[in-house]
Amino acid sequence: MVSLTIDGKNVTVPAGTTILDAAAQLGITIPTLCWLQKVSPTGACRVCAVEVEGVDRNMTACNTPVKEGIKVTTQSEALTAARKKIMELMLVNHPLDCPVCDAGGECGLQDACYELDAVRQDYSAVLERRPIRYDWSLLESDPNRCILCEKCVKVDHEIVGADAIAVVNRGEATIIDTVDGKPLNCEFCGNCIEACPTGTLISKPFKFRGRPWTFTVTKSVCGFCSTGCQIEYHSRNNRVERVTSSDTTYNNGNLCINGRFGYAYLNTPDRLTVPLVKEGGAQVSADWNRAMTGAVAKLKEIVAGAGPQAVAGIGSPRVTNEESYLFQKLLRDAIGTGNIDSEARLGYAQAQAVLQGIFGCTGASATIDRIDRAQAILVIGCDLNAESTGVEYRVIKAATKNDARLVLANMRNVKLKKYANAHLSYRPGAELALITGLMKAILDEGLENKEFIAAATSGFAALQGALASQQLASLAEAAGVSEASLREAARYLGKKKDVAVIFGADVIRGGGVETVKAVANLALLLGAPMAENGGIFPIEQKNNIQGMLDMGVAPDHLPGYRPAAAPGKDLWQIVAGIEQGTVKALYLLGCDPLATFPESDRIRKALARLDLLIVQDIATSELTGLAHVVFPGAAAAEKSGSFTTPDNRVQCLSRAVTPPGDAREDWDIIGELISRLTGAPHARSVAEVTVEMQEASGIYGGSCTLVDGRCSGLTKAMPAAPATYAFSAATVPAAPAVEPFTLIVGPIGFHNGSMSTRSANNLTVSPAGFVEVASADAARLGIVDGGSVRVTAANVSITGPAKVSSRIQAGTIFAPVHFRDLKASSLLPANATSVGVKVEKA
Amino acid sequence: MEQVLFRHNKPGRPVTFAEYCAEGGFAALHKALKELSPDDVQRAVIDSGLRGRGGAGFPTGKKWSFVPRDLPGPRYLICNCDEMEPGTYKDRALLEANPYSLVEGMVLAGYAIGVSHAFIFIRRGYELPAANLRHAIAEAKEAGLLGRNILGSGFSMEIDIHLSAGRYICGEETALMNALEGVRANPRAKPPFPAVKGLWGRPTVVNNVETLANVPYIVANGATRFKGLATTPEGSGMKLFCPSGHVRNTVCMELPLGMTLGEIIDGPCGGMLPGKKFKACIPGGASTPYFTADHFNVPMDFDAVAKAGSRLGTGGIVVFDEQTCMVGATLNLTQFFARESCGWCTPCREGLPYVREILTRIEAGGGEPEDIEILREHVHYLNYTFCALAPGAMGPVEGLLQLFEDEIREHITKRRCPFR
Ligand SMILES: Cc1cc2nc3c(=O)[nH]c(=O)nc-3n(C[C@H](O)[C@H](O)[C@H](O)COP(=O)(O)O)c2cc1C
Ligand code: SF4
Ligand code: SF4
Ligand code: SF4
Ligand code: FES
Repeated sequence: MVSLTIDGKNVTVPAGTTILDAAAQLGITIPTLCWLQKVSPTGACRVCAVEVEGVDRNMTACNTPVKEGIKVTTQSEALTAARKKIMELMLVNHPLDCPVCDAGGECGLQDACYELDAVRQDYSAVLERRPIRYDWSLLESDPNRCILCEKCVKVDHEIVGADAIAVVNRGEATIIDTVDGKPLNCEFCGNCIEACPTGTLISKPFKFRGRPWTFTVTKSVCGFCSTGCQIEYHSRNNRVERVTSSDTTYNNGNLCINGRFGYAYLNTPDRLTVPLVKEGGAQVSADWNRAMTGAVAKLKEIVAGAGPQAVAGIGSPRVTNEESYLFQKLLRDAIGTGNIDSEARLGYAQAQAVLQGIFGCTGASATIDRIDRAQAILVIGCDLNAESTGVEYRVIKAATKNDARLVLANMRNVKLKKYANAHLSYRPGAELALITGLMKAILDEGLENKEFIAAATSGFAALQGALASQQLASLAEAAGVSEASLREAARYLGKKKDVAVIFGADVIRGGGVETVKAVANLALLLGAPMAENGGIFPIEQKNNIQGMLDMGVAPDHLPGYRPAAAPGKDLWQIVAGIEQGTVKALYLLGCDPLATFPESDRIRKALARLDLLIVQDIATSELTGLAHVVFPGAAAAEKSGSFTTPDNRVQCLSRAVTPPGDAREDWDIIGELISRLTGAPHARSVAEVTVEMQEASGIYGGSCTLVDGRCSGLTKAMPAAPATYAFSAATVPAAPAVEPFTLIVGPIGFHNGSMSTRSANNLTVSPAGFVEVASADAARLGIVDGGSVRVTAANVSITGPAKVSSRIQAGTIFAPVHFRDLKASSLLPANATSVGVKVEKA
Repeated sequence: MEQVLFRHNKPGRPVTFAEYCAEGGFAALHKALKELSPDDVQRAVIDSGLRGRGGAGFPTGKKWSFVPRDLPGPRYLICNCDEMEPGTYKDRALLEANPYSLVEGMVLAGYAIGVSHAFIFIRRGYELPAANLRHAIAEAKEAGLLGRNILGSGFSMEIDIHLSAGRYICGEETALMNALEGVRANPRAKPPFPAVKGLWGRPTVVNNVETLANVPYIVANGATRFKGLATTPEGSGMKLFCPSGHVRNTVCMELPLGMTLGEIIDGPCGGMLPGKKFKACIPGGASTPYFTADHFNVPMDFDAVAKAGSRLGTGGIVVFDEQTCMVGATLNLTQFFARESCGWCTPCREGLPYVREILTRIEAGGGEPEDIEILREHVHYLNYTFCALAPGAMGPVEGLLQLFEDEIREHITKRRCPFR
């Protein structure tokens, strides 16, 4: 600890603390301009000048560490003058086009000038004009307004890791630009816009949409991925015009392209604004009463004729907890069927059941902020950048700021590779072999967390025995990696106090239950569940998958995981039931199985057989075209309620705008249907549903309180951790079949689900699907970048433009899951993320 | 006069490896590796009073002693041969004549600090020095004086040469390390100082060519002898001076520290060019405040020059005659510095071009009396920057204001440059 005095007050702080932070502890504020807490100090602007007794020149408080016994002065006439001079210099070359500058009214430079009394410009010079970058997507850069605080560059490099922009040129010609001077080519998360205190980096879609202070700001939660970032909607005239965040949020103000720019889907012309009903084969607009009456009558008719089991519902990870709760209530209580499931059946539901069995918890064993300070991190079968960008930021932070060892196990060279100490590029389908190999290597080298295993687990000996009979060499071969790389990875992960094990779709959807059990075993070997800064983290692309399961949108359990007395049909049983004619009515809530589900061709055929298809969604699609009744619902910005992340944070939404046209909030639609079916009164507000949902689930508590304009959220009770964690029996991995080509289908960072493909913003940087082919394969098959490729699995084909790349191994093909036109997942079998295919030039 | 660095010089060509060895070269290295511990070498350098020749004059032995002793992992030595400071050409002169004393000095320094990988960061365009060094490194390796297990001592060290991309800021030691790492050559914040966290985050010592080349002499002949070379009691060793401008001899010369400015100008420099009268000089490279004839009796040594209001800097003495417009001369230097500012921090990036603009205005006859105050303000505020470039850049401006305010006023009142 170091003691010093600041403005005559004593303070003792840890060595390495900056003068700025030490002063903050005393409640002394030193003006800053280039300092941004979440990145390393830059020390460029010199506004934070302080005097240190005995030092002949001013020191910068933001990057000068304290020293024992120093006497610091933060306020003096000389300092005021020095700070003011800096501001004046800053303005010498500043255009001062505040009236037309997007940052006007929320500009750090304006604020600093005001605060530091730089009200006159004594210096004048001929303005140098530098070209404005109009040729970038989504962002625009006007270097003339830049004060070179470097916040944008630091955020880009230190938090996002895109390394897309940099300081270029020298002297007064210095600007922020892309490294190669070409148009910006990055993740388009816009975090640099947020960090930029001036109007230099601005959002193109927001440009000239209005002065910042004329918007209504609504603090809410992002509705895309399951990171659950805290956001602010800025709306005017019932339109969301931009989304921002703030550095004081859980996510430190960092968003991704979906969170920041994806809002444009709200304003897509495809929005459903009135209910639709089918009349004589044609769909016509209807008022709510007519649509509801028709739907209820038909439901009653089917239940009367074929029993409630002839009705099924598929819910959505996009709707709120309250809506999921009401949806299962509608099916179970109002209709009387247990046939309810969701896309969680593609893997997450089963994975979550496994984790619940072993760790007691639902979803992750800890909140994601624990990842920040983990000492070792394994990310397996997951492209975090696409599946949960905000979690990737935390992994990057752990790896770069806190020196965590990072092992990446992924079939592709995903972004995290550049931060990984080891990258295990395993063969498609070899997740189980790889994990077993890692366990074997850990045990071989004695790197398991012996203390934890002895104190808190059971079944270790059996696992050890089972692994003893396996050869590391053959496991490595089955996984398609080297023995040495497994050992190396084991050493990075082993013998660490705080380990985080993060796994995603390729394990959860592709690997299945046995693979999830193996990941859990691996996590236990490493002591991850005990770690103060770590844990086990399942990753899911869509935001409310956990809340949806918590609410009992599943055939086997009720809200709060109480077992269902008579389990209903699951997703694939529902599809089979439709095919067999036993399921006659299907209610699809915010779920489009034709867009991104495996076996979508089969599902399409099945849907055509239904007597009643009710679709409740926000936009028109092939699916709504098939429906007998379409209820126009509301998007996340248009409703209230709560979302629950896989790491069990329950966050409340705030309604920023009202749904378009006649569209209604989904809880309201379902609530009225329940009321019409049962005669019970319809809830008047979400708050009422929240209370009912809390009671029914038994695991949700708390009440909504506003803290600084943001709901503090609800609480979720986690079952106590088991006395001992049980290792699962080891499954002997089979080597995956050798295919000439394997297609991997997964998300990409520019989109989330199919929702963002309705966002004009996202489409400017990622307009359509593609088929990624390794360069060696492309050369062999005569495929050129941009040329057409046909990929065929069993009897289904897709055709798309080729993207020749070095990001994937030879023999693998990648296609993004999001695009309705490409329909990449139609090639996949029911529970898989990859499939053997034939590839040819089309 | 005893010569240390120029002892081996041959007229018109570089000294050969054989000659250097025959004249006692590499004896210090033999002695150190056979008889002395790394600490002994470090102690000798501390005792010698050797101060950095790269401009700042920091005591070399003390700098070495900041490297943490028992931190595991690599540490680095960098020889700074960027030499972009206008008026300075000593490193080039030394390396064109003799690359061996630098190589020997680097191995000694590496031995003292425990370095196994050293770099020479050399100005682009210094082709002959670079060629000489490449040659010398190869010869030293061949002779077992560099590389693996040097002279059978168990100590190993490699030297790599890195060509600078050609920016003045690359000579600043932390910017230099960024350049070596292949990133933009911005200075880094200090602390952490390079000796603790430098190249690739490892402890690193950066020394100037001349500094390192003095080390063999110190090790071979002892700290006391080296110290005694200076003519002042507080001084230590010899110094390369590089005169330029309106004097007769404009070649690099090795002189004892402590000779007065007058002695240097009238003696080794051969006095002013015929018909010229001394007006002022830059005493130590472009970033030092001017001296006039009033300073002729200032001993040219670090402390004495500082006491007289300037800096010994690199020893680049630029002499101006009576016909020189000091506003014009200062403008010329400011143009250089404004161009070479890295652009990182506000006062330097915005302030230097502004100073340049004011000086341009004054020189063109459009100056106003208030401009003098604005210049003074900048001398004050440009001291407070991220690195030493801007304070250095203001050296000449400071000198101009202090010694030639009348001349500025004359420009302003006459509304033209009186020298044109
Ligand atoms: C803008 C700037 C340029 C510099 N250029 C050089 C240079 O070209 N050569 C040099 O040796 N030192 C240069 N220095 C000084 C170095 O930062 C460093 O102090 C020096 O290399 C240390 O060596 P020494 O202790 O042997 O003098 C420069 C400093 C600044 C601020
Ligand atoms: S673009 Fe904005 S954030 Fe980046 S350096 Fe300039 S003013 Fe700072
Ligand atoms: S999509 Fe995920 S990472 Fe991106 S802003 Fe939304 S919650 Fe955050
Ligand atoms: S003083 Fe000049 S050269 Fe040094 S960091 Fe600042 S801008 Fe760069
Ligand atoms: S805030 Fe410290 S230098 Fe900018």
